[in-house]
Amino acid sequence: MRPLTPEEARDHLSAASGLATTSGKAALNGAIPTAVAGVLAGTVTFAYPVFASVSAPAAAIGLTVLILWLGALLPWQYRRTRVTQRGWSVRYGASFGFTMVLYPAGIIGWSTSSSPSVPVFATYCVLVALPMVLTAIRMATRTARL
Amino acid sequence: VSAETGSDAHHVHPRHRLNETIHAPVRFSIVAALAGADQAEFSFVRDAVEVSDSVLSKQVATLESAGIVKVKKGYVGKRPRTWLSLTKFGRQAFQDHLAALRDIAGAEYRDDSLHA
Repeated sequence: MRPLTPEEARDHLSAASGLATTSGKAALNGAIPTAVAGVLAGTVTFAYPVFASVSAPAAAIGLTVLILWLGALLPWQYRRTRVTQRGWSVRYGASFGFTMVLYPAGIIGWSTSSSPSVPVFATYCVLVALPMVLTAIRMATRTARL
Repeated sequence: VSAETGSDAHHVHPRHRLNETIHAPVRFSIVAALAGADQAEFSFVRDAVEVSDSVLSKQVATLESAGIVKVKKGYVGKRPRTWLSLTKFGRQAFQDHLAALRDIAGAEYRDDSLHA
């Protein structure tokens, strides 16, 4: 191997730095569906009492479909994008897991206990959305580094 | 002072820690482009590195046989796609390679201070 001068080594490092930074578009490709999934989960949780008052079985089916859809969103998006930011699938999976624990818990809590006040339930719905929204912000603002 | 001199005498130059497979310019660029991503499409890497499909295929095959890059083929709809990603070993090898480069780059600063 030809000896490398310090100047060449610095050039290599500089080139590597430029190439390793995934584009802003790639970051948004991960951040947008994550934020949408979180906001959707929070909104549906908030709307659940309305749906349930009309038809409880239909609301339950709708919730199941939504969970399955959100679960399928990751592999779909992962295959569709040209480049996925490093750590995206792990971050999406973790925040999805948090939201999916809070989401049915809120609905079960609302169904089994005396109905909480609207502000309390709305705050809980924000909490449901929060893990995925915060993850999305982190994805969008943090660039990959070597 | 003698202890430091003794240590320097046994010091291995960082160029010996450079990974020969990664060191080639195109392969270095491919690995660097993949370092910031979970995975990237073949066409994305080709555009980032600015090489032809055939050159990229050949270099990726070398990296794959060295266990540095993982190649996954599949379809999006009816279109065939190839995704590239760094293996765990490849990521570590690249980090070690970068560490060696940093040491070489840093050597000049030490030399400059000596000659100043």
